[in-house]
Amino acid sequence: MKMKKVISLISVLVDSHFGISTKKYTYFKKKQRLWEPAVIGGGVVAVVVSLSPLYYLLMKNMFDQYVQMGLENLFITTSVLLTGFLGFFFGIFFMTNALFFSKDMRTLVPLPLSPSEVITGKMFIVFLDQMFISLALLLPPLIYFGVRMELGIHYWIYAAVVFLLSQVIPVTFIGLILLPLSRYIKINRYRDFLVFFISAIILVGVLVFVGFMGGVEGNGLTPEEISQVLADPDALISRISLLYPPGLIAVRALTSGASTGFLWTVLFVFMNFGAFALLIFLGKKLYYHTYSELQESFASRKQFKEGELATFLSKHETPLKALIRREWRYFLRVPSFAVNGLSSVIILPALLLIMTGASGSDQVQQILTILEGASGFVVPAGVLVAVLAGSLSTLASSVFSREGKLFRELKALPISVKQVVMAKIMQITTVSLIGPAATVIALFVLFRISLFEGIAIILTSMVCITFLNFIQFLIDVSRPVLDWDNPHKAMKQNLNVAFSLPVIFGFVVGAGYLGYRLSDLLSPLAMTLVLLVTGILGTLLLWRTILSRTSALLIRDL
Amino acid sequence: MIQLESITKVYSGSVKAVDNVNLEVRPGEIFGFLGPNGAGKTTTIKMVVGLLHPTSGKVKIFGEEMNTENVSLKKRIGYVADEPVVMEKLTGAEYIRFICDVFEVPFSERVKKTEQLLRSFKLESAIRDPVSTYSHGMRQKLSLISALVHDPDLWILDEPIVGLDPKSAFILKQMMRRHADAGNTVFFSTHIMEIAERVCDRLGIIGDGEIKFVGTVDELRELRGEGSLEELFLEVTASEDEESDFSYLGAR
Ligand SMILES: Nc1ncnc2c1ncn2[C@@H]1O[C@H](COP(=O)(O)OP(=O)(O)O)[C@@H](O)[C@H]1O
Ligand SMILES: [Mg+2]
Repeated sequence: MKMKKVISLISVLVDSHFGISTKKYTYFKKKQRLWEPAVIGGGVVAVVVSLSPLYYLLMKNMFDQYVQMGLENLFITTSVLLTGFLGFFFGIFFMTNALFFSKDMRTLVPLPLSPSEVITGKMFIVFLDQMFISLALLLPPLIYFGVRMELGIHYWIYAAVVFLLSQVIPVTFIGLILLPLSRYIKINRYRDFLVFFISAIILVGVLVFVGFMGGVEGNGLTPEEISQVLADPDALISRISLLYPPGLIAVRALTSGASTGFLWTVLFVFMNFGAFALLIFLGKKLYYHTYSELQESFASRKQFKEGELATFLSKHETPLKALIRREWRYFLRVPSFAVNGLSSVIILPALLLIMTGASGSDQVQQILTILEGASGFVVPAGVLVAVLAGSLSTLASSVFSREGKLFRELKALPISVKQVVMAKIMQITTVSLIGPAATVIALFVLFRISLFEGIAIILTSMVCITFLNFIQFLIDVSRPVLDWDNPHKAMKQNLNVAFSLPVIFGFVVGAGYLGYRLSDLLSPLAMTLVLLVTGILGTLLLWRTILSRTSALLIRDL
Repeated sequence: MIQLESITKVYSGSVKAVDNVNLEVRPGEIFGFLGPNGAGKTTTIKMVVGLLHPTSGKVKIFGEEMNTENVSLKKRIGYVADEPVVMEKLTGAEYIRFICDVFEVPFSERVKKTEQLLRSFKLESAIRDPVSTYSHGMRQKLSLISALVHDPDLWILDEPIVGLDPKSAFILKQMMRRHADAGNTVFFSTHIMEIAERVCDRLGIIGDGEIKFVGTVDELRELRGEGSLEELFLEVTASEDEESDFSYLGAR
């Protein structure tokens, strides 16, 4: 490897990955759409400012508690382990992105770069992507710890090292699992789905493993038990420190004073370089050399038989129906969209159901009896759960972003704005409907609600969901992310989706809180009606805006 | 320079894109690789530059077997892909500098070369803007510039003329001529017979993944008797003009 080349490669990949030059160009040179960085920057600042006092209090409380127990080092341990741990989770996602969904290999392979250089460049991007975890969960505690303990300069140096290298081990670990798999994933017809499937299995596997190490007694593992494990860092750490030795080394480096700490830090650095070397080696052997097959797509090249084409083409539809079909096709045939959209609408009801499955355990039974007392409120409460479940599809907040470059096709088609909006809303609504439907099923199993209650929940929640979907639609239509090169950027990494989450949670939590405060004044029926009316009014109110904003977007030069 | 020894490529599924192709491209010549859409030109070229592994057979360049780990081999090749794959989010200048860095072009030379190439292809004014603001032809030019800026011995160009305006196409053809006359090699693909006729020393015609003809334009003429080259081309690629009645397009 030649350092100069690697640095040049990395700087270009970083620029391209984060779109730095393009952003500079639109905002500084062209001075176009300057409100975008303003809104985004403002949003980020608002979130940081509003959360940091909370974060500070949380750190202070934890630290004080640990100090009382004489376990102040556990403060650092928690943060180091949590960072490494979340690194695993996000690592799967960033790594699959880099390996299977990015197209940069096409440019890089013919260039005079060695396989190690190419893999180093790609992995470096994964590290950078992951560093936000360390930035949020490791850096503040490291600083807080240093300040509170009044540690010397040596601590700050070791802390910087630990911080900078904190994501190496998680990424390597994910690489150990995913890279060997790239051999088997390569020519599969359902490659993209396979990637998701395998990621899901790994996630579940890690969870089960952690739960197991966390000492949860044998028979099966429910999410609720897992959350217990996560909520109790002590039990977690004592177990995980066994399975995550790098974390312990980091902790030793930070807490053993200047000279012993130095030795631990050196060990930590060596360990990370070793891990990195292993990662590069595997990437080179297992990924780089199968890359060629990864770009092949499946084609059968069978011609239509006599008459088949005629039959195929003669099933004609109205333009609107054809558009709806187009929506479904693009949604279902991009695994990233289909998997994200569909899984997020059933996750909440599924959790509810799993809880029922675990209702043998005392705690769940307790919760159920408490709820039984308030069973009159099952409809309005169910509506809120259903609203949350259905709105989480994030399809509306990525409605135009998901089009990507295909947006130009949409612009060129001879269709009206209304048809475009209708087709999109109908497809989104259908996917959203899965949320309430699944919620009602879960509620039926849990509380034996009646058919009438079920229908009321579905109807009311669908109206509210449509309202929330309209708001999300408006967010995305104002600032769609169209020039993505991999579909994750349209959904999971889309700021519009992030911005819409506070809206959804705000609505549900706000309504829930109001309902709770007003439970003496308002009957469950009245609450349901209020929700229904809010949804209807909101939807009607936003409809025109949606049309006008969409038409503005379709006219805009893109 | 380039030797293809019975290379075959079967894509996943059942598409045999390249079928037992034997070909030799000699030093000092411009070799045109001719064939209709889907004939297997791009697939062959991708195997030559290492983007695809042949299902069977061997690719040799400068007498060495092609291997993407061989950096010094890759350094001697300038490759322009069929669709210009330059990183969209970079500016043109950043991309060229990156190419100079990885090809380790000395500083004095990279300035001179870049300036000259930019002038030849009239891309000076766009170079500071992101590639995403370029038209297709401009991307093609940037792709060409970055393939030539490091002064490779072997040029491998996949349909290089397609997006270019006539002036740039003319300049490129002249560059190709000069490069070959200096003892180097140009291997390029096209689906336009006229281009092949004008610039090639020798040409190979591929259809349905198989080589149908290799030789000079004169040999092709002789072999197929009289007639314009366009007709010959249609003949060797076995496409007949049975569908030349297009009156149905205007019919109501
Ligand atoms: N990535 C791919 N996966 C599957 N089949 C492909 C792929 N690329 C090309 N093909 C098929 O291989 C054949 C040859 O294509 P190609 O080499 O691109 O032709 P040309 O460049 O001569 O137009 C075509 O039938 C094409 O459909
Ligand atoms: Mg081609």
